Amino acid sequence: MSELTKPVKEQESFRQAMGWLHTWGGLVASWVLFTIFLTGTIGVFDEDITHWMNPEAAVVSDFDLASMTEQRVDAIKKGQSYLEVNAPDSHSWAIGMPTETEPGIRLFWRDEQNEFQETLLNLKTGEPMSAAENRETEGGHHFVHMHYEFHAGMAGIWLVGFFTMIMLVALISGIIIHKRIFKDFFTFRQKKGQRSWLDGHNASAVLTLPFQLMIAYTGLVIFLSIYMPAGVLANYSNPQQFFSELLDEPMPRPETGVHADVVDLSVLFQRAEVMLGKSARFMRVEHPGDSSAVTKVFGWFDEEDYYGQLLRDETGSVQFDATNGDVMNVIPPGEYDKGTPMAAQRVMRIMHFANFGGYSVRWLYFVMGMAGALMMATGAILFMVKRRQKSLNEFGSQTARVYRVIEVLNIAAISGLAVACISYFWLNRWIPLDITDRATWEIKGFFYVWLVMLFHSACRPATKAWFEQWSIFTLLALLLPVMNLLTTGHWLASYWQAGDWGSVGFELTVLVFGLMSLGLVLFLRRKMVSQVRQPQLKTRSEAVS
Amino acid sequence: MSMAMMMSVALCYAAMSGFSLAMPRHLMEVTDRRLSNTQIRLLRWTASLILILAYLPMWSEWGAGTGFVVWVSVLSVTSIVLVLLLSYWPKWAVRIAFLMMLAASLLWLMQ
Repeated sequence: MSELTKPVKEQESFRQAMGWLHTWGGLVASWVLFTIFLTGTIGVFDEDITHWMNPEAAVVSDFDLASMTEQRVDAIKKGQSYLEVNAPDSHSWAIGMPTETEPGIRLFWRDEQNEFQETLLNLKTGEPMSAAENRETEGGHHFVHMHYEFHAGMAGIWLVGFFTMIMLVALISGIIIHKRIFKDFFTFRQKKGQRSWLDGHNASAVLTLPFQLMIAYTGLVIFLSIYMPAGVLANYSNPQQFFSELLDEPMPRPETGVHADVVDLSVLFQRAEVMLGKSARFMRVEHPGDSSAVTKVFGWFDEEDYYGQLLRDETGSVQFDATNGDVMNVIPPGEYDKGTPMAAQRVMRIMHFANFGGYSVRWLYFVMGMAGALMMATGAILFMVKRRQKSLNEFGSQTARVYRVIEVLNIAAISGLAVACISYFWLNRWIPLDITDRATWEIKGFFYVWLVMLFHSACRPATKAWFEQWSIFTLLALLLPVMNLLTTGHWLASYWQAGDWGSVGFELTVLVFGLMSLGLVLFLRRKMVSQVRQPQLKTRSEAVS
Repeated sequence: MSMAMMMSVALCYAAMSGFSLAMPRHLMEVTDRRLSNTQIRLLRWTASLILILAYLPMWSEWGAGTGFVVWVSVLSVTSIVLVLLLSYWPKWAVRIAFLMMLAASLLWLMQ
């Protein structure tokens, strides 16, 4: 072996190793990552989706609560009296001012069983809002929760973190094995079978690579203290102490079991507003009814005030002893000063959340997020397209069976999830308004539809399953505005007239996705027709089923 | 969409189409003309210059850091549009590039 050829060979075997890593790591992670990406991308517009999903909610945006001191104080009073009667033995309370999507006094509490509860109170009456005033729904937040925890709490956060790590590995290994990254930079060869899938996979990844690297990395950094707890655990017997030193805040007080009434929160709220020199928006009480009770008031926060800021200013907060009103800590509004590491994390959080630049930044993130989802989907499909032409026999006699499982999971994870997402909006309009746990039923419905799609893809030949699921998606998407008109009386023109651009945007976007899906359905139909004409070219996976 | 954003979108699209046309494969789909090496180099330099120009409105509107993030985002999104156009309607990809340069100049004059 000459000296010249050796490095080349080593480079090749390195590339092959990376290729293996990319193929199998990518495949296994692609189903979960597609879910994370699709739901996260939809979640960019969570507020607008929540607004569309709650057509009964009165619009509060036409009065500006930030400038109405009396109404804010009144809201705190109503919130406190409701909580004192209905949730006296809770672990914590929180009272929030109305928002554009939640037009009532927002109450949250952890009950005796430490279960999270919430309700909305009518601003005028102080009574919980009825179904006629407010449709009980998780709205767009459902997608955000799917995105970072699959509605599975801490286990979900770990799962998302694990697969995000694999994504970073797949991105880096993908760059290494892509030999023609610059030569093929602008290349997408359509209607060329496997070639097109590879081009689509490469283009969606390469063109948005900075975004994909950034979003995966910042996603991990947001949960830094969960994913990498060792440093803190090694140096602090109580991790709370680390955070209290880091954030320059007093330690949380342990419960004493000694009863003590919570003072009038509205008085503390007003005092906090004076100390901060601005309106406040949110108030939390830890251990209400216990002598250790502490309350914290948070300064008003409007996204527009921080337009363009990656390192967002402090909104300000004041902490009181809730039993006697003594001030425990004040963080004045203004420049963020918790040190460089915390500032770096804060910047990454804000970059990840896409809320630093209004709608133009949201749309950019939406397109790049969809490109990311497309990268996962085309990668997973490419895996099967390659092997449909010619089996690579990775699993010996079981190969065909494993391929079939992969194909079924591809269909369920990609088109199945798309159908589940669009069904969620239909369920929002169809589930009766007055049933208990309505919001939960919407989410359950989402998962049931997804499960049905999984069964469907397991029962049908692959091409037919793709065709049928995208047909369902097309119908549900294109008919969504019609269904909305029939169930609520709202449609594009009425939204337009009302100046409700969020809902106009939502329905138009759904229609665009319906049309793209229609294109896909027509493509799949042509494919099925050509398969019928040439039965000898039946795909391997269909031969199995 | 702000003026700065429109300006940046137009310039990013124009710059990326410049880079793509400097590649014989994509030029072929648009015209029978062949570019000499000097012309290719000139095209690349012009595209690089336009790319940097596209950052300036972002910088002035959002500041250096945020502006950079948005500039990279605009670059990605306009590139996706360009690749789709090059694949399905290559002639329009170029026509739109010229339109974008025209739009950017008009926006600049209007300021």
